[in-house]
Amino acid sequence: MRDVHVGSDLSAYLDAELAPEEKARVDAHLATCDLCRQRLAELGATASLISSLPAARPSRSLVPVMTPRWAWLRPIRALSAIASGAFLFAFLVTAVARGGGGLGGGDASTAIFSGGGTTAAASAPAKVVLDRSAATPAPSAAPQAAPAAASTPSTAETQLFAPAAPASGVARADSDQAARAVAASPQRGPLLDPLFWLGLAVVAGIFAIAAHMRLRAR
Amino acid sequence: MRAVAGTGPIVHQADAEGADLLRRARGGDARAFEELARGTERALYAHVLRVVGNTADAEDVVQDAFVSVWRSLSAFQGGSFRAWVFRIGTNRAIDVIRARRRRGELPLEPSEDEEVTWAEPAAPGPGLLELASQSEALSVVEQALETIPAEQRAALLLRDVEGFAYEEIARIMTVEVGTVKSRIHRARVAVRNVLVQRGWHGAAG
Repeated sequence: MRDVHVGSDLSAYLDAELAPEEKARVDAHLATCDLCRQRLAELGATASLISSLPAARPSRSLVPVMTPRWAWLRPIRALSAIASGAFLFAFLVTAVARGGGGLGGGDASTAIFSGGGTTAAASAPAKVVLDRSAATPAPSAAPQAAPAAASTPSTAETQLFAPAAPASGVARADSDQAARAVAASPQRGPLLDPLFWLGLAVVAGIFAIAAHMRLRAR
Repeated sequence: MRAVAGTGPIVHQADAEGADLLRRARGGDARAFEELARGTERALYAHVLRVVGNTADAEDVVQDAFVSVWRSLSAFQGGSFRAWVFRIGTNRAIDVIRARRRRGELPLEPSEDEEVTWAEPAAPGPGLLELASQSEALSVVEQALETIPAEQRAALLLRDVEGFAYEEIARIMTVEVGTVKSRIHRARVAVRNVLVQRGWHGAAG
């Protein structure tokens, strides 16, 4: 009853894991042994049953998220890259729009990149202010120049033409606004300043690159 | 004759398709790794669950195994990612079993030298092949698997469920091919014995 027959070779035979000469020996034995043929069939049927066992499903995902600390950077990387591009575009648009009106932006950017950031930025509007109203002294800083350029001449004009006819007053008001706009354009918020957009583009670009490097690192 | 005979080529084809993912994962692409891992997750979980016997341990083992695989990706010399994942998962599962044995929760592993005994059928019954699709037969097989030592069970499952060759199983379990052969045979005979004792006989061969 014990393995005077082919022993553990029966499973290896079933699995086609025997060397040719061992297989030949088992084949020869099987040809003459009903019991071993029966057992081979039983083992085959057993293996077949085992192979058709249903695979259990885990109750949750067992694949760990390998970058949980930095995964939130993915949308930031994408948004930063897009924003950087948009800011760069805005920079180009404002720079081109301003290119005809004066080289203030260009002068300023050259000065900024050579190291004199604050004073150069202040000098650009100062020039315009001087052109528009000679009476206003050149301001030492841009924020001070803006209200000075915008309010000083317009107040004077309003007072001068106040008694005039309403129709004329409207016309005056229009030209006044136009003058104010031209005078204040270099300083009217940062939105028309190419440097503002360039700065934002650089900052957003740095964000995008930093996020990208963090995400790429293990 | 063997229902799992076709598994090998399918596995190798899957490996070939996963080669690009593996290359990317080794380059540090966590998403590629996660995709690779998801491809083996369910099979590994089912395997480990049958080795350790409970879902909580099985989930922990599989999760730890994936973390371990990810951390050692750079040391991976090539070959089958699937075999490598099963190697780490199987060894961790057997570690769990051995820890239980040390705590006396499980009997010690029987010697590999013991004789293989073939149980006699209790009574004539339906053939195994006729019952192969029946959940009753499968449930008997599940119960039978639980009665055999974890090392033998793991070897048998790696062969009959996962379709690994003996040589691969030897690498996965870090044992000799002869040991694999012996474990698979013992485990298979043990399952067969439980089945025939339930009144079934093998298909006439």
